[in-house]
Formats: sequence, structure tokens, C-alpha cells
Amino acid sequence: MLVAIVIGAACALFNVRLSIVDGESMAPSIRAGDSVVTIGPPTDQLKIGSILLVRDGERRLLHRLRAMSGEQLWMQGDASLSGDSRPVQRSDVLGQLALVIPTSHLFRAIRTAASFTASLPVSVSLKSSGGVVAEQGARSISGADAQGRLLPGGYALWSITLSACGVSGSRCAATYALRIDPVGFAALLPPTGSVGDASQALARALRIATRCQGLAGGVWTETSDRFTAEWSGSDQASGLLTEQSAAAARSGLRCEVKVTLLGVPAATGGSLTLPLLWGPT
Amino acid sequence: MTGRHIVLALLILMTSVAAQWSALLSLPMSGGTIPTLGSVSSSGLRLWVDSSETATLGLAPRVRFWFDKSGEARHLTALTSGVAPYATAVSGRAQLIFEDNGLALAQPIPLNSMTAFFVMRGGSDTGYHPLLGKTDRATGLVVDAKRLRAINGGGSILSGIIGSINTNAILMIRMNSAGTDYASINGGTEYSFSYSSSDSATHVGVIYSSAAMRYLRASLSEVAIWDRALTATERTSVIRALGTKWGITVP
Repeated sequence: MLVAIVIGAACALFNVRLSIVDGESMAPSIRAGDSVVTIGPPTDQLKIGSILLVRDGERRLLHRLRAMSGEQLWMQGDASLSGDSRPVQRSDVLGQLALVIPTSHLFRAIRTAASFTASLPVSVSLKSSGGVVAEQGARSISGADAQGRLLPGGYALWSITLSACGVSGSRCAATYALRIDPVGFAALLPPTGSVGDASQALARALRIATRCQGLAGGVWTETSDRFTAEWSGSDQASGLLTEQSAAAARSGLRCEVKVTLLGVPAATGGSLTLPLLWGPT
Repeated sequence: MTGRHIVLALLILMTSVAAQWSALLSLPMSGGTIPTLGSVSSSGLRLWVDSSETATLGLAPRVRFWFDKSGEARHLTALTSGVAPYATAVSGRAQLIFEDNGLALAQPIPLNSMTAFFVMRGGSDTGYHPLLGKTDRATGLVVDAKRLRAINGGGSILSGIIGSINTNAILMIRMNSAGTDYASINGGTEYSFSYSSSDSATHVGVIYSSAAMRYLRASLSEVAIWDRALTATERTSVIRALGTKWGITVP
């Protein structure tokens, strides 16, 4: 009883709110049936890319902050290619996402015990201390088996929000780039002259196409189309996915990175984590 | 301010900028199984390019890069001179049209021991169609007026008449390191010849000949090459798989 009172008091004090998600607009990172904990409303500066619980008329929305214009906030669901049709006000913010409890798995298991999904719930926010922000958002997969493994010809599409120079006092470089991390990727490759194991073969069997647009919307620009088979540690251009001016980085970018598995028999059963970096050139 | 101060200021600035790299973005993935041609073992598979998998073609807008699915990294790249092949589909059948250029292999393929399959269509049966070759020596394999011509340092030997490549065809070539060699079309009669070379092919669709290059003027849809002698059962499996895939009647 005492514990319940303490927890209740803490929740009231910090405006902690537990909600059950209804809808797939934030899929695959947050699915219908998931439980989410929000804290707030935030008292400090709102951050582009953060996930906010907002009041939108009679309903409440848990969407990602795409852009700000004065007191107006433009939101967007991760599963949507375009933003919400109308803004909400700063005063409509009820809280900021603190925790996702994946209760949707139980929800789906009860509802459709025999089915499976190819989408994996992956959403990781990463931020540097120096004013460069790279945030991984929604991921979708096409051409995967029941375990979510890509099949040859299949692809995974990641949405990544990038920005830099947004923190006052931080120095800005002239240009910023999203690239394959040369050190991290070199470690994934087989020794020269060797085919390597399944994971090493997989590293050389990818095609990475990247396109970007401003956070406020606008035209998508195809920025690169790379084969990791052509990647060379001595040629920086072979790992470059997009290069952006400081002005563009300051405004923020939304980039889609599409990774296609081209298929190599030796890669069967392999797995890897493709290392990417966003930072000054 | 001295020069040393300027250098120090620049060093501080560079260090500060370098420290702004973000943490790694971790994008986890894993590879599923890949079906091989006719379920034949991929052991010894040294080249496998397939135009039906459009993601394996780097276009700019003509073919710049053709990804090798064998896992041996013998990717094909367009030569810097000439007109690069282009990718298209005829009656829904994907293919690369070669006009006045070949493609370079990232690693050579020995000619003396292999079982090769080419899904191709020639513009004319009377033409000279280099399949594998070198650009600095008259060595390679050529379809020449319905026969297979095997060339080593300018000297060549012809097979019997294997048949027409005017329509889409599966050309099979068996090069045995110590024995008779064979060629056939669409799984038909195998015609023998005897060829010996310790050399390797460095290109697809081009061969050096009489102080000039001669290029393939035909289309290629798929090429698969093993560096071993496939058994009769394996060859039949591959030919049937290719026949089903490309709409070619085979036994």
C-alpha cells in the first residue's frame, strides 16, 4: 500500500503518464498494443526528432516532432512518409516519451497466435555531446523470412534524422557527411584474398541507396547509390552516403537509407551491424 | 600572433570539430538463404551474374557495375573506353545488350578447368561473339558461326556446329584440364573439341584479336561458371533451372 502511495505521489509529482497505444502510425518502433510511459510536459527546449504525447482536439497523439515554428509544432508518425496535416500548439504537449513497454507482442500473440511479422521493433536514439545529432527512426523490411532475416533481393529501409550546429556555442564545420564508418566496416571484411565467413561475405553483398530531404519537407534528393563490394578504405568517396552543407545540417535532415541484400551463397546464416557515422567532413 | 600560435589555434579547431562525430548508428541485419541454380552445390562457383536481379546492376545510366553473386567477388565493371552495355528487357526477359564494349572481371578465371553456362542471344549467327577473353592477348572463348572457337595465343580450335544463338539460348561449355572439352546449346548434343591453355580470362564480351579488340554484339541474361567439372546430373539440373527461368525449351 505504501509502495503504491509512493509511486502514485512520484507519478503525480513528475507528471508520469502510462498510455496504451492504439494505431500503427509509429510502427515499427511503437506498435498498437504497446504501453508507453511519458513524462512531462518538458520544461526545457523541445528537440526535433523527440517523440511527444500531444493533445490534438479530442484525441491524443504520440508522434515525432518534425519541425517547430514559433509556438506551432509539426508532428509526424514514423510510419508515414509525410507529416501530420495540421500543427499542434506548444501548450498541447502533454509529455515526452520515456519508455516503451512492448506489450503489443502479447496483444498480437493473443489476437493472431499463428502469424508473424517481418518488421522488427528497432528504434534507437543516439546523440553526441558536441552538437551533432543522428537519430534512427522507423525501419521497414521487404523480402524477409519469418525470422526477419533479409532474403536475397530483399531490402531494409531506415529513416534517420540528422542535424548539426544546432547547439549554441558549438563550432560548425563547412560540410557534414553520413558515411560508412571506415574503421568499423574494415573490421567486418575478410582478409585480402579470402572469401571469409558468412558474415564477412554478407558485408560485401549489400547495396546502399540514400536519399534525403529537409525536416520541413520538400524534394527528396538521391544522394548516393553504393555497392559495399566497391567499398575501399583508401577511397573516402566509396563510403560516402550523403554530404550536406552546414546550413542544411543546421536545419536538419531526414534521410532514408535503403540496404538491399544482393545475395551470395556464402552469406547464408551471416549477420552484421552496418556501422554508419554522421559528422563533419 | 606568431605562426606557432596560428598552428596551435588550427590544431585546437580541428580537434574540436573531429570530436563532433556522432556515436555509431547500429543497423542490425542478417542474411537469409540463397537458392543456387538447380540446387547444385555452390562449391567451386566462381562467377554468377544474373540480369534478372536488377539490384545487382549499377547503372549510370548504362551498366557501370554487375555484382557477382558467387561470393568470389569477380564483379564486372565497364571499360572506360567504348560504349558500355545497357540493361533492358525484351518480352519481359531481362538482359544486358553488348554493342561496342566488354566488362572487366575483378579477378581472372582460369580457362583450363571450368563448367560454364551463358544465357545469351546473338544478333546474328554469322557474327563473332567473344564470351570470355583477354584484352592483351588473343586468348579466350568465342561463338563463331554456330561453333565454339577456343583460342590460345592466336591459335584456335573449333567445335562442331552446336546450333543457333539467334533466339535466347543456353550455351554450356565444359573445359577439362586433362581431357576432351565439350560445348552444347539448350542441353542438346555435346560437341567435342580439344583445347589447352594455362591462361585465364580477364574480361567478358571482349577479346584481343589482330592488333584490335573484338566485342560481343549480343545480349547476356545470366552467366554462371564453376571451376570444377559438374556431373551430368548437375549439368542437367542447371540447364533445366535456366530453361525454366528464361523460358527456353530444354530436354
